[in-house]
Amino acid sequence: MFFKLVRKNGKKVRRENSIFFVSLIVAVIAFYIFLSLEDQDVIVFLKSMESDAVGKLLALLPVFYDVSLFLLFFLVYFSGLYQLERRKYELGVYLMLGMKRSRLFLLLLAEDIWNSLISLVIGIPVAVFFSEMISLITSKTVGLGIIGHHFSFSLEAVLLTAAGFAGIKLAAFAILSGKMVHREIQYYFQDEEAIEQKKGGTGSYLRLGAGVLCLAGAYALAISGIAWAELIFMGATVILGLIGMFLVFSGLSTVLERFWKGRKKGLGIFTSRQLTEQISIQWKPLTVASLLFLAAFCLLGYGISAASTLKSQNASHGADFTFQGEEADIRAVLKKTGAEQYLDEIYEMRLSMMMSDDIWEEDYPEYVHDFSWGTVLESVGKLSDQNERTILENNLSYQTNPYLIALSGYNQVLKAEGKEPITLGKDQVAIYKDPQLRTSPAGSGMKKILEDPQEITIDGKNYSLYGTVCFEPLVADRIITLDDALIVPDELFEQLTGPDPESYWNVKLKQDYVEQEGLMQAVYTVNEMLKDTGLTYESYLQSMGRQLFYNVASSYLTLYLAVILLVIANTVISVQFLMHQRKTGRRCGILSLLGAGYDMLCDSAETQVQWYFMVPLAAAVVNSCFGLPSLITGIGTIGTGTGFLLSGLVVIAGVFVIEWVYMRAVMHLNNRQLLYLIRQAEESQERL
Amino acid sequence: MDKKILDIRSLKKYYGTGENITKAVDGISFYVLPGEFVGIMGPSGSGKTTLLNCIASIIRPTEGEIFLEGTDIASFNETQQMKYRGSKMGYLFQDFKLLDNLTGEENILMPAAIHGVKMSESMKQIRRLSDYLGLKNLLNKYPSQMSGGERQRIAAARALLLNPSVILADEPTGALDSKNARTLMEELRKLNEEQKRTILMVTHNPDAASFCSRILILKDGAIFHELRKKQNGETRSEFYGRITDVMAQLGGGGDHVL
Repeated sequence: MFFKLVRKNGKKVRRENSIFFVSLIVAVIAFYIFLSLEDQDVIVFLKSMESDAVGKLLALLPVFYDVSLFLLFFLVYFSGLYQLERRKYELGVYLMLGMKRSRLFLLLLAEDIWNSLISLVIGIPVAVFFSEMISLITSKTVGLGIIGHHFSFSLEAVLLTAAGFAGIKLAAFAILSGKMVHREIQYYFQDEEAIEQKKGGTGSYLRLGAGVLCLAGAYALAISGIAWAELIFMGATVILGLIGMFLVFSGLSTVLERFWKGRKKGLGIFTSRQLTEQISIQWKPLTVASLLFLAAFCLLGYGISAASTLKSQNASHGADFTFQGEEADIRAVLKKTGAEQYLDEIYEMRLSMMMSDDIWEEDYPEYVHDFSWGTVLESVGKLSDQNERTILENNLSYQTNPYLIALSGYNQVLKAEGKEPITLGKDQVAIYKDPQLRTSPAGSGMKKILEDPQEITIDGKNYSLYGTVCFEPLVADRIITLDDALIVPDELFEQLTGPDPESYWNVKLKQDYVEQEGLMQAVYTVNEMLKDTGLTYESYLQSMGRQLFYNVASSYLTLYLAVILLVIANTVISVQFLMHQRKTGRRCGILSLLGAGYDMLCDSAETQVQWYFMVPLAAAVVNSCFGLPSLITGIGTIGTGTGFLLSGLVVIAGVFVIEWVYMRAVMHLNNRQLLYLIRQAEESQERL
Repeated sequence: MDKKILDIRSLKKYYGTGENITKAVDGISFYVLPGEFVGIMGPSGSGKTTLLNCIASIIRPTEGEIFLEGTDIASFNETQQMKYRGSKMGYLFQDFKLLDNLTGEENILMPAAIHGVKMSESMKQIRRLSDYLGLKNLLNKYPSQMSGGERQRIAAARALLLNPSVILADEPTGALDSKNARTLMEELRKLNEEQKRTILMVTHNPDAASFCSRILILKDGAIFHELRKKQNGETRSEFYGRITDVMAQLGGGGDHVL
């Protein structure tokens, strides 16, 4: 009998509470995907390249596991609370019939475990499918191809998911049943609790004003970048933001009441009163939901922009491998290992530091040269952008002995990338900057300066500057690069450099081989041939692997957290809304007796749902307009331009769809509840 | 026929089927003339509230016709019923059925908003009712800030707002103390006598019933007896005496002794 009741009630709960059941399944899916990260193709591959970094990431997983469980606890708790509220009458009947509270608790727990098992049974296969899809798509996107794909099923992830959920379910139930134990049986038969009508006064306006001021302060700190300067400023920004949000939400109902005052048509007055009442009572959970939305938006924006940069790994580059050593030795090894057949002709990249400081004078007095930035310094001072000006002034002040790059090597890089080589006159040099500085203030400032003719001075002689900044990576590994250098004609390079200029030997993979295998696989295969030969070299794979690791890790973690936060925020809002509607359900019965039809009541309820979701969402959107740019500039620009814009649109569209689904689900549940309440009101009238 | 504001013909409301059938209302016929104040009395389970709910369109009768100003409302569909509720009929409930999140004025205005009546007209009507029922200090209060009598006055104003043809009152004094109950009944009588409002009231209280001009006494879903206030100056206390006599006989089980 007990188990029959458990199964029957479980089915009823799933049907009547589909919104939370689906949320639970989504949470299970997100949880499994996250926990099975280790088995994803890209991570398996990256482990062979960046084992330390991957190891560090995987060591972080337990922390994320705990944080996620903590957050999911709220989802379980709130849906449990709603369940108990909804089934109050039924539970009261069980108690009236003499069921012990402990047995009632067991019944509820058994129902919940039964439903959790079902959500796991549905969720895990879906999660495995999604996990495989993500693995395949990521592999394909980054160029691993599907050759290296293997099906993975992580039993550990399943067990951890099940254990985690069981743990939080038990904890939530312990708290809820603790509350329940102290209730009088009469409580279960009360239709609704009296709701005190609050009137907003000047206090509300004061709180609202103070909140807006706090938020403005937080926005200013975030946008100006001061928040990222020191931990204390970041702390101040967060605290100001939090206080601001709570203050604004605490006074919001008064403003909304004024805003809705004119709506008297149909159930306009009733609708606006329901909303203002609900917001004035539930402003705390609404603020928390809005903050969760904000966090989710920022994480989504950042995660999707990180994911969208995965593709850019195949961007043009002049070298797939860079060797160090004697040319003859390198050629011999390439021939011996057979790697030669996959490679184009190797070319030399010569670099050296210009010796212009006094410190060099003692050892190599004959190689010391006088260097000055000539007209460049003056032009920097005239830059209108303060950020560009400060950074460039700072950079140039310590560059008294710049690095030199031989023009021939740089032109070979351009040629390998399929770009036009640059031509320098005898007395002309070009400015080189790290490719990653292309969009930075230093890069953009220098580009502006070079729009006008500029000159630098070496040993008293003026050299004109080439009209644009050169940004191409010099060697295979992008991390090993120069921030700033001068590209000089080969003759001048020989004149100005010391006794041992550094030589790097770059080589690219043959284009047809890359097309056949995919870049990642091709570099990987040749790398396998060379790795035990004793040659000193860097491969593009390392550069790509490292960058890929950062992007994969950040997109995975941020997207995962964003999904969890969105699910929780929506659950909190849905539960709060439905519970309030339930408590005030009698009002709909009265309206029905006064002639308001089911459609009219549904319209009113749907307007309430829309506004109730819109208020915290709108606040989160406004906040994220300041938060997201600040986050991206603060942590580092990982996506820019159209890619970023596109990812922003994807975020908006995605969130819109998720919110629409949640709103529809709440409307559907609420309408069903309304119909029940109307019938109940009519029946109770009938019983008299 | 034209003069009848409400005409109930062979009204039946049965619950269950076969052997388990319960005849809550079993073939009741009566009519109400404009300006009448009719009371419906009877012991518990006699079918008085079921009868009122059928007329109020809260429940659908099993059989029979209910003509309101010549229109059979028993055959209405749900949309037609909705239009009819609250506009052609005003309700007074035992538990007032006020919306606790709206002020007195907003509660009164609700039927006008639901039925799409112009706000300006409704506001004029509110002012008139406010003067008549003494609601001035109650309009901006929430129901939780009012006494039981005040709440019922607000509910009365709401029932009267759209000038309904009939006011249906279901134990309107049920939740009031004797002083407030008396005041409310005086107000209903005033409405009936001065404004010629037609009122149909269900009550079990002989004191409240003594304000009526005619009383239908139900038993087992049928009209058991009808009492009319005598035209030749019968006082309320005399009428009260006759009502209590009938109720006492009804309680004693003597069928049709009168």
